Amino acid sequence: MHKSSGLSDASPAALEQLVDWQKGTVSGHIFVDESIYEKEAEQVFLRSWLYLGHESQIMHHGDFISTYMGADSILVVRQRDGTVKGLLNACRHRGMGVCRADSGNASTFVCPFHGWTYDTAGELRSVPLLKSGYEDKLDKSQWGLMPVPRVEIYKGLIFGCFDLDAPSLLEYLGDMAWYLDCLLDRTEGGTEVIGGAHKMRINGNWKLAAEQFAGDNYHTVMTHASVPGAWSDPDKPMPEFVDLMEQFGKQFVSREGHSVAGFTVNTANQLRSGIATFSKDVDIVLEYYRQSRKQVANRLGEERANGPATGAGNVFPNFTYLNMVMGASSIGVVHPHGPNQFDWWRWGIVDKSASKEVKAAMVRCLHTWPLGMADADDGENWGAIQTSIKGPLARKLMFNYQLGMGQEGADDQYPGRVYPGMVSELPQRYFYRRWLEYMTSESWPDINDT
Amino acid sequence: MFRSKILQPDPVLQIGIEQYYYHEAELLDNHEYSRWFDLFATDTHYWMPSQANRLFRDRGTEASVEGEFGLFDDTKTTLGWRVKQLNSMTHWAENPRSRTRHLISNVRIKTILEDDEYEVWSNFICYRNRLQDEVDIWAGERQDLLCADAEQGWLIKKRKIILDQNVVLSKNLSVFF
Repeated sequence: MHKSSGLSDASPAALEQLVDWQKGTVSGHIFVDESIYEKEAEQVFLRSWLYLGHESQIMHHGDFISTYMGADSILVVRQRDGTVKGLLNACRHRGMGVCRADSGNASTFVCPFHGWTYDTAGELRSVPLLKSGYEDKLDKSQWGLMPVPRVEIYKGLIFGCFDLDAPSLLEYLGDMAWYLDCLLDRTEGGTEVIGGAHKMRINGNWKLAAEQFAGDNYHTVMTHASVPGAWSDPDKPMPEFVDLMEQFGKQFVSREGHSVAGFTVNTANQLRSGIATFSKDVDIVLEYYRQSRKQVANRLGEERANGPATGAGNVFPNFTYLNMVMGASSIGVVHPHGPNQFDWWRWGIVDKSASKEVKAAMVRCLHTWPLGMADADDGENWGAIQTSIKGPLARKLMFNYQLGMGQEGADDQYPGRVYPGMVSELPQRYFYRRWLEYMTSESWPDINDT
Repeated sequence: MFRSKILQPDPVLQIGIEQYYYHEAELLDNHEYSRWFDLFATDTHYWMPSQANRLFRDRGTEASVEGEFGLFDDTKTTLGWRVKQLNSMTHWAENPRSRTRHLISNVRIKTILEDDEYEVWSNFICYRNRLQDEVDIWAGERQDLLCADAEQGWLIKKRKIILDQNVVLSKNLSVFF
């Protein structure tokens, strides 16, 4: 057993003992400790850029979606001038949510408690008993819904940030934007989100899901061992799932804590692999990828047309995606609910210009593989980890994040720090490196090195 | 004479369909997934929409529609994949096995179509107890299209499952409904 401090307070000195990204060790404490969670709520979720939604979900004035930033309920609303606002979904009178629908179109948001009424920009418009009760002295301009001070959009993805010292979204994304383009900017018109969402409640720490999307290609073969077996056709050779481990690919990390868990550097490999041989839907999607390859190359260049496809990724801290994995792409967000629980929301995302037939095939692919058969075992893992590390001894264990230590570097073709294979824990080390910086700094954590 | 707007089914038909559902529930609770799989027609569609909260004026649009994102959207082929997964020893979500109890009630024969097809709705509660002390309870409605079958009695040509949850309150849906 590794020696561990056993500290459970959230002071910078204690945290630095719990996370050692250079040695590749992380203590169980950071997944279960209440004081660490409280500090995350303040220093990670109130500072970083958080995913709010996709533009295609709110096309018209008054269209809104409900989401969370950390544990705070947020309304994301399309404004009259076409911009997007984020509003804290809490009435300024007593704090009740002024909107309890998940999405829709509204001209006003009326608090069901006493009737304070706000417009789509969050301005307080009317208050019962304004004359007789408040003698007309209530300054409505001071009592609007609290806005998310910064909302910015990157190619359809809407992000919000509470920290005025944070850099712009584009600067925050850094090298990650180049990789996100492979999901968001493949074809003319960009992407759209498919209606309907997966929302699951997991009794585990939010970082377990985030770090897995950030970098865990290692789990795929064991955790999802039951999936390729189920696909196998007795008349055809079983797809060699283990090939994934050896497939020629790379991993990307950014200093900002974002990463792509693994991407092939030759899409042709991907096109030949997997379940293509016996799923009609995957065949339809792969044919679409072949046909659209030239357009992707024209827009993004040959490097990005050849790869980096087939990837899980994470924008720090909690925006996750799967790009072109087994015939489909999805985006998601991990909402924390205390140290021991999170909600995992996900949507299908498709190229807007794809045909109806291709989009339908993509949705069916999502249902069967990533959000059907594979998810079930991920949920099992996260819950099981949380159960076992609650123990006073287990939480003191330093867990091993040392896979593929010290092999990263610059790459001629790919921006950021790159690991020369598909499977390492480099992304997780960078995720926790950045997490530690947020957790131990007094204000927005500047990056002073490269 | 009193005439009900509600279809008054032949009691033999009603009992036959109820017994069929009890048999189906028994197969699931006994983890006899391959036998359960045989109850579905080759062109079946097994579909569970996701649920959302809507504004009052949008009521009726809470469930996602076919073609959108749901929680299950299976053909006979992909349902077969799930069955094979459940029958394998490496599906960790169900290894060790969960203890489940499917309770089927409120069986309503809604319409009798030509070609011996029946639209039958029923309610369910599924209780899952897992590992030491984990409990999940799912309640909802199944909207089935059944067709008479000489061998099985009935085949499920279509099943739409309304799960009465917005955020799915379990770590997965590694059971069938």
